Amino acid sequence: MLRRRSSCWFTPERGYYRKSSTAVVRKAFLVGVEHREVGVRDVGLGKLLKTGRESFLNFVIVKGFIGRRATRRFTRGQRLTYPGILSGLVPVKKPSPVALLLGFIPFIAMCFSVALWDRVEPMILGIPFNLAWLIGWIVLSSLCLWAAYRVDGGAK
Amino acid sequence: MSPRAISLTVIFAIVGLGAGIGFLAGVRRKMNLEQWTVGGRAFGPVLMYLLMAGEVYTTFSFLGASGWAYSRGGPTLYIMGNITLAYVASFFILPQIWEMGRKYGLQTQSDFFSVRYGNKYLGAFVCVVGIAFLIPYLQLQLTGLGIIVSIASFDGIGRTAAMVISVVLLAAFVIANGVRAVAWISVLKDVLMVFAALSVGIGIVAMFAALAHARPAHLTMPGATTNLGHTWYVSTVLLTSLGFYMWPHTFAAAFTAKSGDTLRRNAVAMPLYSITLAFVFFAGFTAVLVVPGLPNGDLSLLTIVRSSFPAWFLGVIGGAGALAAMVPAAIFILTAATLFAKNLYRPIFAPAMTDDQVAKLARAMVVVLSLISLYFAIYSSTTLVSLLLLGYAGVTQFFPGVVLGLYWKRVTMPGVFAGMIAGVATVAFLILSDRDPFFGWSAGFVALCLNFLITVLLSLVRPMAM
Repeated sequence: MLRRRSSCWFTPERGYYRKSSTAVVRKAFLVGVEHREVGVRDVGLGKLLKTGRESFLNFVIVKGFIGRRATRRFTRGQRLTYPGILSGLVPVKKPSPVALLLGFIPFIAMCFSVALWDRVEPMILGIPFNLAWLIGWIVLSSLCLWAAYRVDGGAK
Repeated sequence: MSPRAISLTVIFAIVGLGAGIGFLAGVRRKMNLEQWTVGGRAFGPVLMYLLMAGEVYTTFSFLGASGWAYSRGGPTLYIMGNITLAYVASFFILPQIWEMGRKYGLQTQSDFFSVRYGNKYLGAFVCVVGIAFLIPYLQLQLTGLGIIVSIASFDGIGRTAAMVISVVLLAAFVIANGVRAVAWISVLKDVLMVFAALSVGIGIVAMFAALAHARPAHLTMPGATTNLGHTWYVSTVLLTSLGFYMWPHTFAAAFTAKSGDTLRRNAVAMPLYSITLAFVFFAGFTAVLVVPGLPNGDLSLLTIVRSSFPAWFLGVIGGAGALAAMVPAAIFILTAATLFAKNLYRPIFAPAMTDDQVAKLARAMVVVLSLISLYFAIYSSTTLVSLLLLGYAGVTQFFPGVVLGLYWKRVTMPGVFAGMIAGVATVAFLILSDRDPFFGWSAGFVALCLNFLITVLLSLVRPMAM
């Protein structure tokens, strides 16, 4: 299924990465990781890479050799490329189409339809129609979002 | 007591109380970098609501909204569409940003870009653009603060003195307690703002019927302007509502929430707060008839309040106005300082820095940025408002990178980088060469479309080498 890609990166939590920046190896330490899907043994550095970045990068698997055993060794002071995140590998909770539709209603009402409601008459409670329309839609927008919140499950 | 003494006492009491809250906010907490910048990611719905309202309702909503109602009329309504739809958009973006932030320990907007696209130069670019557009916004807050306090104190405190005192206070509590201080002062500020806006709206009889009779065209678009019509309205509302959470500080506020759900619930409730803006509009529209011919529309709200309210209330307005400037200013400074230390200085110049050293550098930057903005505010030029418009249009150029980064698998770093550079360049060119609106369209919106197009095309044409 997958071709050999000697320059890509793999971590168990985040899947494959594309290489991007460099870091200095502070301590050589090999970690073998089994990637079940493709049955490959990858090699990595556990919590010993000084990246000058955040803790989220402190476990990095280096160089996935697909199709053969990785035998690479690292030495202190060696410069390594460390990963950025590959597109599509950031799983976030996506809103449902219904919720999106509900969110689109206020945009139609308060933005796109401006030519239909931008007038003074009829005044509502002494307020010009356009201002009254917008005030009304502030409340209705809140309701639309509330509905979208309910549709998408709300608090678990 | 003379009116001046009464109003001065009230202003000092409010600002003093605010600063006191700021200093107490972080007591018994260890201020590490994450605590300082994102409050340990532990803000619940109420504090979150107030913090977000705190950074949104700035001196611009106080003076600018009424000022536009006064000087431009109808087009000012865009502010209502803008804020409400910004919350609607946030419902679909912020919880996802928060999720990513939680997973990768993100603290700033620039973190998001460097991590999502794996390129520290993209992160640094976002950081530079963000800081560049925050500084005029910051300066605008301080200038507004000077105006509010000096008028509300019947010129008892000069503009410069007011700015210096407030900047010293806010730099002190930001250095001490970071975002936690700002959030707690927001509580006081929001209560006062709602009180002030409601009283102004109810106390000043809105004279729409008379205005509609005397100047009917003033109440609709394009109002007193020639080029701010419906096309401008649609494009500006879209631009500003999508760009609203692209400001580095509003974006980073998402990381302070306890959960993504907090942000969703927040988005449901936030629009309601913006109803108070309607009252600010009332004051501005009424001022057209009551105090015509003001040289500067921004003074309309305060002028009308000064002529029809007692001195203590003017003091409340002054104090609320001062906090309304200090809270956002504190957030801008905090954000810009963190960005500089964490996303510009460390990755590019000193990759070996520890988090503690970054926190120290950020605190030092608070002082530097406070002084810079104070300098600009005291010796301010007249091009402030255009700089702010430029800023809004500018930060919105982050939008494609954020939204596609969250939802589209195939978007690539070069695509986003190129789109963003094209967007920012277009914005700068169109606005600085005075071509905004561009054939009736908001210049930032034109740039945003171009940005989207380039990002998508480049991502499709040159997919990632995988």
